Amino acid sequence: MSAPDISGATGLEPPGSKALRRLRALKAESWIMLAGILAIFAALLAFLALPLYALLKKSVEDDKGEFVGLINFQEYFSSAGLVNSISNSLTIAFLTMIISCTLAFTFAYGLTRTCMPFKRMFRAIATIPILAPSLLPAISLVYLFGNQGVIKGLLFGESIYGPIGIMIAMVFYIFPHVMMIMVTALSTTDARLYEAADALGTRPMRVFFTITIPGAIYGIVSAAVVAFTLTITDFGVPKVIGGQYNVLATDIYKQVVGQQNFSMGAVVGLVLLIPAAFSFMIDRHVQKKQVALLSARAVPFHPKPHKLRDAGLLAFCILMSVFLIGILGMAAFASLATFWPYDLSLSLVHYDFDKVDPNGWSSFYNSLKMAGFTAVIGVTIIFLGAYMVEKGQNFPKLRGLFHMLAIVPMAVPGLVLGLAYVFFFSRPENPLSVFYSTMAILVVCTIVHFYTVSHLTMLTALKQIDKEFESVSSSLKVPFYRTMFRVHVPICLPAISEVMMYLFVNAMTTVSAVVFLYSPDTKLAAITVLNLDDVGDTAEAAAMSMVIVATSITVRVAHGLLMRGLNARHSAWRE
Amino acid sequence: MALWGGAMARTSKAKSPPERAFLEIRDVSKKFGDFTALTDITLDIVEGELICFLGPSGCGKTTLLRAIAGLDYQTTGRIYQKGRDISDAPPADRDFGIVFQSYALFPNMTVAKNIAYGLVNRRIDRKAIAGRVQELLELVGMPGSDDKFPAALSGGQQQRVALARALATSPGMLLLDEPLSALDAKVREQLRHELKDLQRSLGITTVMVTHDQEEALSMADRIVVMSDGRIAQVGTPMEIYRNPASAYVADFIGSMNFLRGKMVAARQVQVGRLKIALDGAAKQFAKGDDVVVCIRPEDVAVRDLGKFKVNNFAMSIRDVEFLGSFCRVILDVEGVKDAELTADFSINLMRDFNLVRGGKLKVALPRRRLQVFRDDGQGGDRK
Ligand SMILES: Nc1ncnc2c1ncn2[C@@H]1O[C@H](COP(=O)(O)OP(=O)(O)OP(=O)(O)O)[C@@H](O)[C@H]1O
Ligand SMILES: [Mg+2]
Repeated sequence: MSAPDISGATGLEPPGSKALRRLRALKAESWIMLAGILAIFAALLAFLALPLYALLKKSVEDDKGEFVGLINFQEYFSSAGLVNSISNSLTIAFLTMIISCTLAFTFAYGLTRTCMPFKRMFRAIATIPILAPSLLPAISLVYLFGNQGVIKGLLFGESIYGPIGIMIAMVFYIFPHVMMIMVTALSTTDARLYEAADALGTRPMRVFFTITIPGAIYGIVSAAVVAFTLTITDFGVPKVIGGQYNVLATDIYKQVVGQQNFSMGAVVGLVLLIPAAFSFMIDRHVQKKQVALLSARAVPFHPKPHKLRDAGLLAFCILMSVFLIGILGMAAFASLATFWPYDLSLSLVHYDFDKVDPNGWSSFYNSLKMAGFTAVIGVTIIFLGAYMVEKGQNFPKLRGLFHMLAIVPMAVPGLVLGLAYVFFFSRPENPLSVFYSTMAILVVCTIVHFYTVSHLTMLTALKQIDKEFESVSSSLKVPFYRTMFRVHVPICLPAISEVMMYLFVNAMTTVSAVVFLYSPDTKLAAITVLNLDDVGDTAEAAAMSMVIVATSITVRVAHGLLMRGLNARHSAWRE
Repeated sequence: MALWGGAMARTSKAKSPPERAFLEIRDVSKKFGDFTALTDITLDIVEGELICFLGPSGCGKTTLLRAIAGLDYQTTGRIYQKGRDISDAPPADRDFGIVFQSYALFPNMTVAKNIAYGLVNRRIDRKAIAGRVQELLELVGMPGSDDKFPAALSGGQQQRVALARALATSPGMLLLDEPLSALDAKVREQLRHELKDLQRSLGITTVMVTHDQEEALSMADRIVVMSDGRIAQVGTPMEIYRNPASAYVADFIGSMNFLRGKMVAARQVQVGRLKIALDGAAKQFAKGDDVVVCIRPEDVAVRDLGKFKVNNFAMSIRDVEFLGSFCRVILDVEGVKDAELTADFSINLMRDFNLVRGGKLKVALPRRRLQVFRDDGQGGDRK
């Protein structure tokens, strides 16, 4: 991940008659390009920048919309309960970061630096949590360690409702994200460094601390930052298992949904934005350095067998897999057990959602619809946006600005984005308020929420395409959009499919951004999980989570098959 | 080489330039922010010629080519094609085909589809397109490769396809950016000939960018030597080799000996303890000027020294490098501290004069072969 080459910006001609002349000389296709950039730019402004501004504004207004300065902030910081949440959030995020990074690093080390068997299987298992809403591990933990928990004794009397539960569920939920960054960091190394150390007779411990760790340090920092942000911004886990332990994310929800105190919600949202934005900046900074580290030509590293090390890490990976599968398996079992814990015979009674919630199954269909729209519309917009940033010929400044805006969503927690939407779209004087409480706003919000990662994935794919195609195209007098469809889209199909899958799975599992935005008609499956758990229908909540997991797996498999098909069909030209 | 169909025929190479050149470049400058990549480039390109932009990396060759193509606009200056001002025209409004160093073939299309890419857009009927593709495939010597994908072709073949694609729409001008530099030496040499033949038979005005002087010397009708965004010299390969306009050009093209000294009299330079006599070429320099005297290694004379009344010097042989058809001999110039002279001698001569390391001999520096430039620090590695 690195900023695209927009160095042309410096070559922009000075304004004046010449620029005008050239503007007039532009062909129709350049106008299409300009219109496209402006349209997507305007969309990001309307659906990201303006809502965030509305949130900012709300934080300095009272309930009637009068400007009150910093009174809301004063009130917030004088409430011991609320301020306590800050320290709770930071503590949880910090500890979770340490634990998950240690586990993920060890796991990734096993995958990349040992000769242990079943690496592919371990890697697949480690990505399981991505397929589930963050509510699932929390529900699972309730069954394992709750008041009627199976292995409650392991906690030695401590309650699972509170920091311990939040941290365990969080470690499960963020594990794949952290692990994948660690794997990348550990894979990109130069074997020659190790050979050199070997030749000098360096002891393994010293090699580890002088070569392995420094080589992966940027990845480790990046993983730590991601772990921190995901933990501090997640809402599902503390909602289900937090008990009386308040954190920032649940405070927002309570202020807005519980007490209808929107101004205070906005203040908490801004407070939550600070660590997220801060860690985002650290991450960007580190990513750039990482790229610089990689550009040198390196010889790939191939681990040599080492009995003790391989066996140790194999054992660790097995334990970790047991943990991950165990959490998922517990939820699955809980959803199937007829009447926990008294009648453990298996049945599908808890899957009859309509009995406990009138919008039960329909919320699942809503989710499918929402995820489908998000994937299709999202990938189209994201591809076009990335294409214009990377391959556009004119308007370098505008393209650079657009790229910067496209990176912002990563720094905005879903809860904050959702809240910002509420403030922006609920105002009757806003012409866009017709969207409010429709399916469209859920789709838009989800696309924006997951824009950055998709944008960067697409950008990476486009970067690998020869820069001269646009020049060839215009020299042959073929308009750029034709070449885009005939050349760039086919070449980018793997990335397009991947982004679609990413958007779909996230749209299925996300709670935080949409929790403020749904209406009874557009309720989503993940929200239903939340509601069911809220009213004590925990088994049904687990069942709905399993339905979501099954859907995600189906999409994952479909993506895999599609890729295999593509590879077979295009084997003639794909390397 | 295949015959070129009627509609494609072009007036063969223009012998006498028309009143206006095919392409006129006037005072073109290009800035990237504060960095000036091109400074006041003025150049005429004659219809039907193959002109090479030659210069070291970063001297602005590609920048100039892209300005001609309209892919990047010049900051100031104007460009005319056949008298028409195209300075601000987008690439599609100009008349050229372009081939890039990377070939830039579309990987997801077959060879035939790649070649037809610019034709399909012109709503020509399918049969005509297919015919044209066949014609082009033969032209570039690759008949029967229609259905292959670029990934299945060698570098040289890919470059031929790229060339065919650029020629498909019969452009008035062909622009080549280092077309051969990604190929290995043998293929490069072969393609050099083919490219030149093709260009000659089509009579298509061609601009080729290269940093390989051998390529430029062997292919170009004229060479534009560039340095730091400026034109250092324009001329035929022979002119540039024989009469470089500056020490920079002399150094860049071929090998050259540089002897630094001071004018001590009209047409006489003092280099260390040697006095070197010059001919008319030195008349612009006055006594006391710092100059650099140049001679090509192959121009150092050994036989018939009696013919040369001046510039006979005694040398000792420091080193001999055997290079196959000739030997490169490093001579120590007696009387000039730390100075050496490189000379290329035929194997024959080596034998006749029994030249070995450590030996001594007399050489002449023929006056007519000496070039003199003001010493501006360019040329040779100054110690
Ligand atoms: N888009 C750009 N932004 C800033 N500087 C540029 C840009 N393109 C080229 N330059 C600079 O302009 C100078 C000339 O570049 P150009 O590509 O024309 O060189 P060249 O003669 O083709 O060299 P090479 O043989 O390496 O291709 C270089 O110093 C280069 O760094
Ligand atoms: Mg170049």
